[in-house]
Amino acid sequence: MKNMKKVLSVILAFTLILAMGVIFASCGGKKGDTKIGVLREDDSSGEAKAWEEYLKKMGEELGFTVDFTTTASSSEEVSAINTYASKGYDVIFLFSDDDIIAAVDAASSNKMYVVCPTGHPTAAQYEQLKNNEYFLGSVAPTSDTEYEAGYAMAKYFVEQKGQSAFTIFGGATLYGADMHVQRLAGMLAYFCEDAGTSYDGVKTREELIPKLIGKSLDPSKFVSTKYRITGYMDGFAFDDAFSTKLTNSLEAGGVCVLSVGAGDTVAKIAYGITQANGKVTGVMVGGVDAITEDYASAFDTVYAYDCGKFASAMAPAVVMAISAVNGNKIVNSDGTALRLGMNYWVATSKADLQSMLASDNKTDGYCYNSAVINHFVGNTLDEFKKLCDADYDAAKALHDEYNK
Amino acid sequence: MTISKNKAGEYAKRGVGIAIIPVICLVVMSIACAASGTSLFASQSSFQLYFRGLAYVLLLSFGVSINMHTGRFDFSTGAQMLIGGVIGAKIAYASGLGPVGMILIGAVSSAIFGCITGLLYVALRLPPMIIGLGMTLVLEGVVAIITGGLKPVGFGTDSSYYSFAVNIGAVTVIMLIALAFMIVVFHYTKFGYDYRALQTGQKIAVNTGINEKSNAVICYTISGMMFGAAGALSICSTNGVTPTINFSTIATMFSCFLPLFFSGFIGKYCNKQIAILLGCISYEFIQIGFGQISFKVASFTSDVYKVIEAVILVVFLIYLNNENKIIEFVKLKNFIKKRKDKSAATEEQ
Repeated sequence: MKNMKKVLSVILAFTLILAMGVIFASCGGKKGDTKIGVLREDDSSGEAKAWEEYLKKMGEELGFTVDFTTTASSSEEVSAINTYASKGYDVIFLFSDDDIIAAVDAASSNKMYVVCPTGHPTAAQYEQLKNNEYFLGSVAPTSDTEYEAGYAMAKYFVEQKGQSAFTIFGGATLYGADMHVQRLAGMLAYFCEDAGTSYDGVKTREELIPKLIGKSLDPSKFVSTKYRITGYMDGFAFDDAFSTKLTNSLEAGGVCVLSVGAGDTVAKIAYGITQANGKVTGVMVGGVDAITEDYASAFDTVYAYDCGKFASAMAPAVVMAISAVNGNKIVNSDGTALRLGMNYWVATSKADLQSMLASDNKTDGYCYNSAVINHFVGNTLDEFKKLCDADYDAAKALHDEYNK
Repeated sequence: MTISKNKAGEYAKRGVGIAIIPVICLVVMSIACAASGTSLFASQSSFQLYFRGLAYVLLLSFGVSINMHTGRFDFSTGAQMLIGGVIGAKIAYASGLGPVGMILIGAVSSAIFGCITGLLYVALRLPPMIIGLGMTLVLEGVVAIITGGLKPVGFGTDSSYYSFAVNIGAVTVIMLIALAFMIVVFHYTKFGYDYRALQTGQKIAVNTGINEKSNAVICYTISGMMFGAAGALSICSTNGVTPTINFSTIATMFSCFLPLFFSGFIGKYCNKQIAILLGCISYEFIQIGFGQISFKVASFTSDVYKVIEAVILVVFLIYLNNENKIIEFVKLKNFIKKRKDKSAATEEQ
């Protein structure tokens, strides 16, 4: 019995030592010089998952550690930053924007760098932050990018698809969400280039935005001899009222649906209406959202145009972070933090989308892989801008150039 | 003669009580739509959407009413709907069972989850709200797992699911089956009698030998079944769903509050389940009407009609809680009584 106890003790001790060894070995394998903590509010959308996979993969290839925390308020952000600081993290990727000033203050007091990879601080916030040595800046689609996205989508459906009657889904325009307002303004600005078209008596971007922000779009104020807007929906409650409005608008002839977001959901409902309703034919939906797998199946229905961010869109943030940690911060010529735009990718067919996904995924490799990132780390601002400004073709060219 | 006159008066009062809310909703929304330059039922599609919405809100209301009317507030309603709908959609689409199969699978799956919720409630003796919140997190987590990390669930190019949801005949059959089931189970079975006894006085009911624990578990199970069917129908209505978590499903249950409070009034004049149906009929007039008005009037946004809906709910609750006082006020009962008393006193003098 005594011997049995001894044997058991030895086996247990050996198992413990082995387990500790495995744990330390695995930690050592993942641990890199740089540690990045990601704070985000959305941890479930297609693009959130694509970015997570990208950052993890780049972490493995470039030897940095990345960890994700989902937050829902400014206080949670600050608390998460302090937790990361206590664990020796170097950089915070701030996806959420509850209170960017408080988040940057918390990070800089812990000597941690902050990058905003999905949105920009407001002009006033930027003024407050631009000289903070720990705020590296923001790289994301700007208001101009959003405006161009709406403009290009409307242009595509008019010039390439011959559409003239539209249903518009304005998402959070009613709540003043800048990206949705800009996209909607872009659509209207394109229509208003026609001499006989105006919205509420105005035609240009500068005039249109005040007419839309926080007010939605009123189809009765859209005057045109060339185009029609048969219906407008906003909000994200896809309820009976939404279905009623969409059905009415499609039946009124507005079969080209332009969506500032949630294009896949709008496409699914529009497709159902088309199939169940003999009066509605030729429906096509375009949307600004994300280049992800989820949208590939939407192209099988009535989805015809997808514009959005892509998995490798995190690359500029990674470049900024590693450069700063290595002591080669990329800054503006006057030494202030960056505030750069990021281009969208556009797919007009399932084949296009699949080709984009094939060139930018975890299994086959990312467009902005470690070789591309290594080229830009510590490089000049002008060179860095090439990475941010690239559309799909330019992004592929960059990939090919640095992966020879 | 007096008896038959009283009976006729009673029937007339009942008829008015049963019909007044649906009629008011229909008339008010028809007038509002006409004033906005449209009509409540502008086309065949409006009828389809009306019946689709009615079937969904009826199943949801039946499910919520079971526990709510016995003082249990189940926050996991939306999560049960989501998980039932997702399981139903995934299995039915993969195996080609179609929308009917999807609704059946959804109902059975959610009945199982409902039963688990009920068993936890009975076993842990925690307040139903706490159990509901806990189950919400668990079920949302399960949804995240079975959808491979909240990936969208859809039917590809198969439009039979959406077509089923807007098929007036099909959804009418679903409503009739649900109505018949609820009437039989809650009004013509021992379980139903026990349920109503517990509803009116739990202590006395338990003292008479009614097992309140098994009754609660069965309630949760039937609720789950209704939620699963409603969830499946909801996914058919939007031709798919992108699941969301972190308590995002909780708000789903609130859409049936207005019809349930309507039914609280109508139920004084007819069977409770019929009253719920009539409450839902009334509510759906409002929903379709809001959709038609906001299509014509841009300023009538989704936020505006949600506020109006909330105001209707609050006003109706105020009425229900002060019904006698309001009736007295409207009929000037106190005033007339005082006048009579005064005149009687004057005559005596």
